[in-house]
Amino acid sequence: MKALLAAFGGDFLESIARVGSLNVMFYKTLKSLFPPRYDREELFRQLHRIGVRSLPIVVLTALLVGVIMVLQSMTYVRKTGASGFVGAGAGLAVLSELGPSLIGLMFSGRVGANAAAELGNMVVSEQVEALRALAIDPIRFLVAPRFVAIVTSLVLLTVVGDLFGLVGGAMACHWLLDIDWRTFHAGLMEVDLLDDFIVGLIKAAAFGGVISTVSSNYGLTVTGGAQGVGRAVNGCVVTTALGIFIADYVITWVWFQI
Amino acid sequence: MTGIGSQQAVVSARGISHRLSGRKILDDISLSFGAGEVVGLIGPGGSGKTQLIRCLVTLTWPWKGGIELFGKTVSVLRRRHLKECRSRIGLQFQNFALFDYLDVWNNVAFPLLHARAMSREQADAPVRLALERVGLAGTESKFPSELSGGMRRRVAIARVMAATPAVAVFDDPVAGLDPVNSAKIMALLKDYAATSESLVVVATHDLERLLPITSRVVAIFGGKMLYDGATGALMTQAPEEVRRFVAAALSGEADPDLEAGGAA
Repeated sequence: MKALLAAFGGDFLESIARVGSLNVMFYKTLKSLFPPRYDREELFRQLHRIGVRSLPIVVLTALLVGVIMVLQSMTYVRKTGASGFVGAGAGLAVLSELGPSLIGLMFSGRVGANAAAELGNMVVSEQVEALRALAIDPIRFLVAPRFVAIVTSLVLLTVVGDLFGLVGGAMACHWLLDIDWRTFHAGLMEVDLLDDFIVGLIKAAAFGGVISTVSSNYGLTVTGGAQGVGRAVNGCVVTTALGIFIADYVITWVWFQI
Repeated sequence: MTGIGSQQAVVSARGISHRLSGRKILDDISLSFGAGEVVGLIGPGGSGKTQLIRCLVTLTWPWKGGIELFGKTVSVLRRRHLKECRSRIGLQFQNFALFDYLDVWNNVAFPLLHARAMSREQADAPVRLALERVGLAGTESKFPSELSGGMRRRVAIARVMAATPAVAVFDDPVAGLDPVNSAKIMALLKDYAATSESLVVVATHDLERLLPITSRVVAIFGGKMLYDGATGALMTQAPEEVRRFVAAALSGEADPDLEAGGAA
């Protein structure tokens, strides 16, 4: 019993310490963004690696999200004949919720895990120590460009993803439900989607912040060599997913209060 | 112990002690190095040489005692001044610490571009000179993963040399190298020490090649400094334990690493 309590307590204390460390990392990252003196070369390298290379997977995810949304509603649409609402439903779901969340999760798996592993390897091979020895702040040099690149890329990719999500929905409507393109379009235009689009982008920016902060924190706190890097990547993926859902809940709640 | 502190100390330690995982790895060490000195840091593996280096270059804060860099006590320095001090120090890490994603040119130019804020054009000449010096001219566009261990070590040394720091520290520059490459690297350090005005600190087990290039030796055993004095007086004035270690290392009778078990 004592051992169980000790193990549980240890995990609890570790979690509390991690939350504190994540907050400190987020604060230091924000502080390092102003004035914007981070390395431009590193920023462009990260934008290319993170943003451009994620485009295919985001497009595919978004298309499938659109298709799945329409497939889910297929039974009810056929039963009720409410084909005019399919466009509106797909638009609302894709723009405000499923688009940013699923793209964020996909992005965290690809980019967050990669960033944690990369930074972890840099710690293990003393590259981070080399930066410190050269009087270069690792947060400003390594984390700030990643933060900017991840947030910017995720917001832009969400815009692209929204577009492809709607295209996927329209395609599924046309080919699977035999609903005319114009009916889908009319349904889409019937509701005011600007608010949903904006909240989707706010969520994308927040998710980007979560992914960057969590992956940098896990990466830079690696201990114990290659095994430690594996543990950090694992912890990063789980914590990021949790962080995305928490951020999603908070933003949605606040948005409905306004 | 024959300390030979310098009038114009660039690096000083005052009674520093340090612990790692509950184990005392540095015990009350005081020393002072001046500009232009070539200091050899010797001792068995695991004796605390690397930790002493890390304390001296402010990568690790000792649990007790103080470090002075360029006449300033680092523990009370403002962050900006500490950065300024650190930017005047060049450290070659034991396992290279080259940036994987940068090619050789950018690795060597890194301190110049990022710590000294030089333009790429300004950095080009010292980078090429340093690479030429270490015999790696023509490898500028190669990545660390494309180089052998010996070549990577030379790139790490070139990175220190290119920046011409006021304090150049080489931590085990010949570890794991064959005798030919070890001789080449030690000759390189000798050449660098002779032509620069920097304080040069070299930690290595290759005493046969280290002792001829140093003017002063600091011996660390079990975290304690057992000798700090002129290289010439090492075999006459150093304690028995140090003399036995040096004699064994020079004759190749015993591997100093095996005696203490583990790396520094």
